[in-house]
Amino acid sequence: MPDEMEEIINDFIIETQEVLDGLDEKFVDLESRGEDPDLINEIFRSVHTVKGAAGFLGFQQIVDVSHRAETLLKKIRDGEMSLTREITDVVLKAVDTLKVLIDHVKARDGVQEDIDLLLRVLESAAEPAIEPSQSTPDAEPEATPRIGEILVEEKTISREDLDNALEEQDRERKIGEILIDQKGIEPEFVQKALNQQKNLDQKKNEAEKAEKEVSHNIRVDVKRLDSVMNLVGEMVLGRNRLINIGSRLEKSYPDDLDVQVLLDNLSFISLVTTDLQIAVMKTRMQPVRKVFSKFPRIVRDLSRKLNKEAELHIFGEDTELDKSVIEELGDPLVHMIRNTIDHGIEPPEERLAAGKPRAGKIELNASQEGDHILIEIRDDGKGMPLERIRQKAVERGLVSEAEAARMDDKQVLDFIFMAGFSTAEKQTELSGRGVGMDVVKTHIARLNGYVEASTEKGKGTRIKITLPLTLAIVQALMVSVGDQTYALPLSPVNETLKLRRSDIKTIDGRPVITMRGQVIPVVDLGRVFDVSGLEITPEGNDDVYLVVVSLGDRKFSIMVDRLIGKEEIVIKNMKGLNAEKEGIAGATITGDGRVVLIVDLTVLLREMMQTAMA
Amino acid sequence: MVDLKMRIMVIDDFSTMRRIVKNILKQLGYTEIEEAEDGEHALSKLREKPVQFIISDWNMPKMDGLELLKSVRNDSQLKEIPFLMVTAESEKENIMAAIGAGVSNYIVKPFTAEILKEKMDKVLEKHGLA
Repeated sequence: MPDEMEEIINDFIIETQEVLDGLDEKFVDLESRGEDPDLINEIFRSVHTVKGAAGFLGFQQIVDVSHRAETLLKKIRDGEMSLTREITDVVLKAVDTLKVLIDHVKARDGVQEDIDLLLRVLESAAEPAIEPSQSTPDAEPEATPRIGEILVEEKTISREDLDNALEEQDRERKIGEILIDQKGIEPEFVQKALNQQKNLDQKKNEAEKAEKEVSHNIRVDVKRLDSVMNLVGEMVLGRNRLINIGSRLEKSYPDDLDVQVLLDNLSFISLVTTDLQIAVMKTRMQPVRKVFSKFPRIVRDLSRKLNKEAELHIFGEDTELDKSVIEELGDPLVHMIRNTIDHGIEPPEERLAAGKPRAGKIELNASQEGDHILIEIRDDGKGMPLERIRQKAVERGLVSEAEAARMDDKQVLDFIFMAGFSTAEKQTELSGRGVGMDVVKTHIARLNGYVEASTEKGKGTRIKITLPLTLAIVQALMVSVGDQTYALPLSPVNETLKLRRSDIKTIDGRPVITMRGQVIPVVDLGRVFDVSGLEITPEGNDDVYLVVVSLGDRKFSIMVDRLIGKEEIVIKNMKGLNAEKEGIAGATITGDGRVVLIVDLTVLLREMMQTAMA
Repeated sequence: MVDLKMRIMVIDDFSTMRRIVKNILKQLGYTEIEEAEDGEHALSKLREKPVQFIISDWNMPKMDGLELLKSVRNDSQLKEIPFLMVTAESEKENIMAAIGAGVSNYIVKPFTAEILKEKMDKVLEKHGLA
């Protein structure tokens, strides 16, 4: 059955990858918690399991590596060796190699890695198994005694007795019975067995519950989920169109009973569609743990490499995000964490001199706030070199010296998100290759997210990423400018205002409004997109609408001619569109069947800031 | 004749392994195969509805194969069920303990369908079921 085999191999790949990813974290735990026997046993078991399955499937290299790693781990588990940093490194190397081997299995490329050296290293690491510590023989507390073994040990019976009994067992039934018959002992054992049984009964409910949870899981190909998501998207669009038609009918035939019935049914369908949409969205949600679990290992490896010390504290790893968001999130987060260790955290001596603990502290925190997710990376390092960034911005001709001096810290920090802007004097192997925070920002923007930084000299840096819960369907505010309709993502919208064009003032040549004592810049959407028919304002004379939005800590307003209303839209990507350049995040089809462009607010913000600086 | 309709429970914490063993059992013509992911899980399923044959991995979280074996052999309802322990080469040294606890036989992984059939036939014969 080749198909069956194919599926088993796919399962093996997925399951093994999960196991291996989990290992990284366990190892880091192990280093910080010390030799926790349970943890070591878990690690041992993981490798053991991978080996077992790989053996069946004939992945010999995986078997070879995991077998040797297992032997080494077994010695550690049994107390024959202690877990030094060097040994941890060797085992981690083995884990890394296993990941590479799994990738080959996944790619079906039949490539064999050169693992001879690794095998030899693993073997020799397992060799110097001297100094068997005193506590070894019975180091592991056995929950239940092994009947025969205990009896032999207590000299109740001899090894021969046991062997004889075992031979008997072929024809008879139970070793216990045979032994009782022969020796007439054991009240203690019977008692123990009974106790154990009682225990098990207590655990039964728990186990049943666990069983239910287990049997209700099913692995589904993501492609299938994607196509369901797509269909739901289409359905949402269809529903929107129906609602549109419905409200037109209601206006034209307010007293028609059939129209009323139609509308009732429509609102029911609408409700169900929304529920369905949420339900499908939930099937795609995964905990951020999936990405976060890589970081303990990365932090460990990197800080060692750079001779720094860093502790990573992870919070909110159960926070859930859409699978595709999670996948896209990995790279930018890795980059930022690397940056943090590379540029943020000081070497231990420098930290001590500054009166800080030797080891730097990095906090990775995920949380949900309304319909978006916040991810924060904080460190207690030296902070970003604001003066250096200012200087660099002037050097690069981005701003004049006077302008740079006037900018607040926040504005200065925004430079780091510009392409090719890097202040690192000495570029390390890891970060600071000129591709830096701008790539991070582009990545996050692609997810309709927003990233911002704040820093305090000597105290540390904080990077905050705001992400939508899902990518596919968003609430949008439909607006029009001239003869064009645009969709603005609703979640960053704070409020809308209607005012006269003359209420808009100019400061330093930039249009602004004053709202409750706060000065807020204005972006004219019509000018940004060069919309025709701007002069035709249906409402006559001078009324305009402003949509006030917040991206992170930045507030600005978008000037439009008319507000149309709130609509749920399905984002469709547009081929051949340079979203970054055009300021368009994609397109959607509205309830009345028109194709409408979705505005990328982050691009608007950037344009605005650049004109402000120019 | 071997009853191909007999209910067999495969216990392993690694779902791919369960699938592999299941697949081999299917190749041998068995159709009624249950799964459990560790000893505790297996025991609660068994107490609900016993099976006619158990194939269990040794090394599992919560309750390992040996513990499960002991619990099965100490349960008046379950103690007669043939119990085949799957072990790795490295665990062979522990097999004495499993024999002590009443295991019907053991099989070292990886194994082929032929070997599994041979072991199962032996076990069934021993239990007077074939």
